[in-house]
Amino acid sequence: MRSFFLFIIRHYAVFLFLLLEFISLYFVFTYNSFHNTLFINSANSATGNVLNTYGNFQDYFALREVNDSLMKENALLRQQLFLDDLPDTSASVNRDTSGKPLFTYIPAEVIGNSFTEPNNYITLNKGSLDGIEINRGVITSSGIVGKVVKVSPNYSVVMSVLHSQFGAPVIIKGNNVLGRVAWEGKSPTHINVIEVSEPGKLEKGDTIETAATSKIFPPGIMVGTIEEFGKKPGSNYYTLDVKLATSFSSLKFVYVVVDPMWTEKETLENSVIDAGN
Amino acid sequence: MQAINWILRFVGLIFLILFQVLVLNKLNVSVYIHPYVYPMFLILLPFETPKWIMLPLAFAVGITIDMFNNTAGMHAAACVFIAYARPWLIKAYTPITGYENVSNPSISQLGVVWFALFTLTVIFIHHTIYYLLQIFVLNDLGFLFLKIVLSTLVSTLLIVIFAFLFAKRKANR
Repeated sequence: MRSFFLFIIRHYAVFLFLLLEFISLYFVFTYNSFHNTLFINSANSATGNVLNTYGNFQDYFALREVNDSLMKENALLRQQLFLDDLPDTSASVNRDTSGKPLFTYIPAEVIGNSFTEPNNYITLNKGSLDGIEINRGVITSSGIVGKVVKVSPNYSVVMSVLHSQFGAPVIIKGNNVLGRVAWEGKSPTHINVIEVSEPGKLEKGDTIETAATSKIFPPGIMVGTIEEFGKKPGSNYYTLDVKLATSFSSLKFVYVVVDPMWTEKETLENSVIDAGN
Repeated sequence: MQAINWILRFVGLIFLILFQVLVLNKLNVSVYIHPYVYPMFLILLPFETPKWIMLPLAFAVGITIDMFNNTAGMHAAACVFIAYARPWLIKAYTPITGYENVSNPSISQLGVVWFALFTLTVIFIHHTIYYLLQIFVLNDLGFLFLKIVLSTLVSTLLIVIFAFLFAKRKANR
């Protein structure tokens, strides 16, 4: 026993090395499976505060761009308001029978954003105290951004669309053919839509938007426009190369989707899955 | 004197981490180039730094970067590995004259070429481990290799420039 301890003490560096590597790799491989159990994310109070303070300071340099984007959004909303006066059958999709909107949105500011890594995350300055919950979609006025994966009281972390594990059902506007978004990791301005079967007649510039089957996004949110399309050799499915509507390099303000029916949908779907087993 | 030296190192480390997470990480230059210069703190530690200081320090710094980047333990894993491999690398890069009277891996004492080569090796190992963990599904090895090589070159260049500026300021004082 004594010699065993002596052995460990003499070669402590190897054991320390193996222990620290084991802990690191444990964190790596459990990060996405445990939602709020780990403190190692940018929503914890220390990193959140650093990013937020720096973000406040940086805000002053981006005032003009932010103004421009808000003006554009204002114009768009004004236009929609005007269109609402006309009877529009599709407008009823996002309202319940009493006319209340099915989805509401929480505005939040981006304080951390990466888009050149193989897996990208965005940090927001709003958290559970503001009503943000895990697995909710995040959008901008121009298109989809990602989904919330970690929440702390004051901050939250969003898995960007530019992430190897991000996926959401989308449709080709006009013919309603389903597909799924997937990022290859090479360009922050483009995304692939995969698993598209028999898309019918396609044209460059066709719009891709979120599908009604999406659990995280409201239906009809802009994703992007088709730039290329084709079948991969040996595949029955079409793959579309889509130019993203959201500009990730100038992301400043986003909206987190609030869906009051989310828990009900989720438990119902899970009960079906459980019953199947 | 020793204590002051370590306090200065610690302050330098904090600035290095802040520079990494608030400046470099926000630059998002290109999908091919994402420089990480914070391992510089490990490169600049004295040769005789005991492992029981170096390994936990590398882990702590790696985890700090991981928190900001949401990369779980990827930077920690890469950092601990280069901290463990450092003594062997130092031995492998022994100059012909040996390390006589040299206690720190610095440009002023060992020259730019030695420092650049040593940095290049350490950074290459760090980036390789980090990106292998990032892109766990290896469907495009060419892209991964290009990313590792280009990022390594840019990180190394930045670190050598920093070390050069720092060494010059010290010499002037």
